[in-house]
Amino acid sequence: MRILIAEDDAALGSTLRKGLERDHYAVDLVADGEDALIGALAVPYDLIILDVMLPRRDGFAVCQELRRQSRDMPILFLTARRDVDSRIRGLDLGGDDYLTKPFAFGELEARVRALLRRDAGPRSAQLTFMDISLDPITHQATRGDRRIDLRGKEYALLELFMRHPRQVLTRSMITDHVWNEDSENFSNVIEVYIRYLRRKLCEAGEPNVIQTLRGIGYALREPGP
Amino acid sequence: MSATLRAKPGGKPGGKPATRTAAALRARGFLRLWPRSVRAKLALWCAVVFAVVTLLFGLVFFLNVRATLTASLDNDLTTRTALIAVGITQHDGGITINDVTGTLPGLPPGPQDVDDSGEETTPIAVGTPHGDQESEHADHRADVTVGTLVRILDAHGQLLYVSPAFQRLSVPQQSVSASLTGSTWRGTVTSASGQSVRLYSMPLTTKSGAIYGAIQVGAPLAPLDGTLRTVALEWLLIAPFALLLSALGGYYLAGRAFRPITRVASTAQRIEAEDLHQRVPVPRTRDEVQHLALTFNEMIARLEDAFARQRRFVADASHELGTPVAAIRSISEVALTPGTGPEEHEASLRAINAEAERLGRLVGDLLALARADEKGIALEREPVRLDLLAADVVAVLEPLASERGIQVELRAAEPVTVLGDEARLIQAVLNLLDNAIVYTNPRPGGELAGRVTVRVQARGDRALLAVSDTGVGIAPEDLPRIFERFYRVDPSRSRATGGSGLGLAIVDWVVRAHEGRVRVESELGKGSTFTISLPLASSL
Repeated sequence: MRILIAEDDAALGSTLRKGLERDHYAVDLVADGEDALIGALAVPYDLIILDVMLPRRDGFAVCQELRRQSRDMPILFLTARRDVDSRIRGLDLGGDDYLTKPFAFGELEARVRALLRRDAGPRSAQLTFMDISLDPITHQATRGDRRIDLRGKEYALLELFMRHPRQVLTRSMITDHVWNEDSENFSNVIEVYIRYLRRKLCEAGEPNVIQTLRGIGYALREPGP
Repeated sequence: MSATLRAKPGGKPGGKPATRTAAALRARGFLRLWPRSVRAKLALWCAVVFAVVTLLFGLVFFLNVRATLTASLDNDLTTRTALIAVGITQHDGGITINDVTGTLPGLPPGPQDVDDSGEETTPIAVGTPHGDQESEHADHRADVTVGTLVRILDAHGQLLYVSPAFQRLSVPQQSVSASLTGSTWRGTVTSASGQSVRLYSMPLTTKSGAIYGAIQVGAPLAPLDGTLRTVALEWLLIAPFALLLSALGGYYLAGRAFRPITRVASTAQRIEAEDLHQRVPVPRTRDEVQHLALTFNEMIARLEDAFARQRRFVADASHELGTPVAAIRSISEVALTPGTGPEEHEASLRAINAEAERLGRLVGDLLALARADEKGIALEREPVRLDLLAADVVAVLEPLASERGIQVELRAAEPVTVLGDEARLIQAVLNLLDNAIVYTNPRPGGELAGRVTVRVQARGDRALLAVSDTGVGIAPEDLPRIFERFYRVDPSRSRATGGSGLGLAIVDWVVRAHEGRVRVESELGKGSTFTISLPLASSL
């Protein structure tokens, strides 16, 4: 899942980025509102963490413009201001959630998970598809009773599929959501990762759930007849 | 993670530093006087050293001269005293003083010829100094520099003779007592008018050694002082000029020494990125300046190379990007001409899609290399199973291989683990295998024509991944250049298969970023083997 952080405090921004990357999210960091807007319009982020006080364009203005241009990804505001009025304003402008500084990183993580849940169907924290389940908190994947050991990008890839079950994901979509802007063209590499994932998911002989749609992409689907 | 993150502090951080003290300002003002050019500093140091040396030398010289002059004076004094003492004799009647040296005022000069018995013509029995005769000339004789300074005493300290000038001296009693007890005394005393006098006091002894009196002779120090003062004055007059001369000399010499450096600097100033063919003049002297100039020139040459490579890369990249863009434009222009039907539109869209994909691949590769040029690229460092990676890459490219009638074989018997960035390592191995498949003679029709072997093994502390093909091979003259960006041995062939010319360049940078190396061995017509060597995870 790909997250944009817009935070002008360099130390805080970098800390948040590292923390979220450790949770296997692909993270991009910008330091002002203008860059945030341009980035969010160009890349299909799954979530945006927006500091309210940003140079060049403040967080509220960015949120308002994104909603006006039909970008519906969840937006989480960060602010040092504690007054209720600004919180009301933020939420009414289209924001989905609010965190006041100082905050505990664990709370940010939990709110991120909650916001990412909203797009998926089931309301529980765990992601499930057939006998595969993924726990976004512990980053643990299981199939049946079998524990699956997944590293960084493999996990991120599976999470992306599990959050978009039965949807066709093109290679460019996968690149957009599993890697951040620092990464080059990995469309060939994705093929190899899909193979990895298939192998791990089907180690005990279970049926394959990742379908290849030639020339288009991949989809997480129940195996056909 | 449960760390609490602090809020951003409001307002601008920090403020102006505390007001400076007057002392600090004065110190800075002083430092501004310190010369900034090495040349001036050198001249200044030269002058300082010269001044110190001169000062020391002058001091030593002065002290030496003074010691010598004083010793000489003392010697004269001793000799004179002895000479005067010759004319003093003791006999039963008393002590007779004969002025043998002719210098004692108030006494007639001694006879020219004296016989051994010591008989004189006109002995003078003395008891008191001559009074009236001298008082007329008292004034000018009172100046100790003019008159003789002699005093003669008997064994009891009674005055036998004293020269008028001597009377104005204040002499310590110790000098008398010392002489009357047999020792000589030497010292400096002062006159009533404050002038210094060197005094020598000696006992008068009979031939048998009995002391019957003392003689004291003085010599004014004024002449000596005068000499020393002249010497010192001359030194002080000459020294500033000498100092100035040394400073100027130092400045001039430093200037000569630094002229080549100044020339280097002025040439360097003229060198621009666009004009890197210039070189600084190299002096013929085999010294540090020549070394500096040579090193500088080497640096400029390296920069020139780097810039040239950069320009070539940009030119090549623009060209490569232009081709698919042009293709897309022409295909779409044709498709937009009126009268084209939906089937032609579909065909055009497929063709555009293919070109767009090619363009996308190229842009992606360019981006990868741009990352490579950046210093701050952060690569992952996690354990990667190279043998499993190879297996997956082989499987992924299997359709391409069978389409071209190539057989791919994997030989990876043991687990081989390295530390690195998995995605990029996959990319590198993909590129190598893709190359091997594409450059091995395809025989359309499915006849198994060529063979590609991928070998993964651990040897020593290295992990080796080798891709061998039975392809067209690479000519020896091309071998050193194949890892260059956009270098193509056979341009027509690689463009047709959609290659970007950057595949091997990417392999090279990925491998280097993992502290590894990639080698190639090839024989024209037989095939090539590319070997990646990486440090094993266990050895790191």
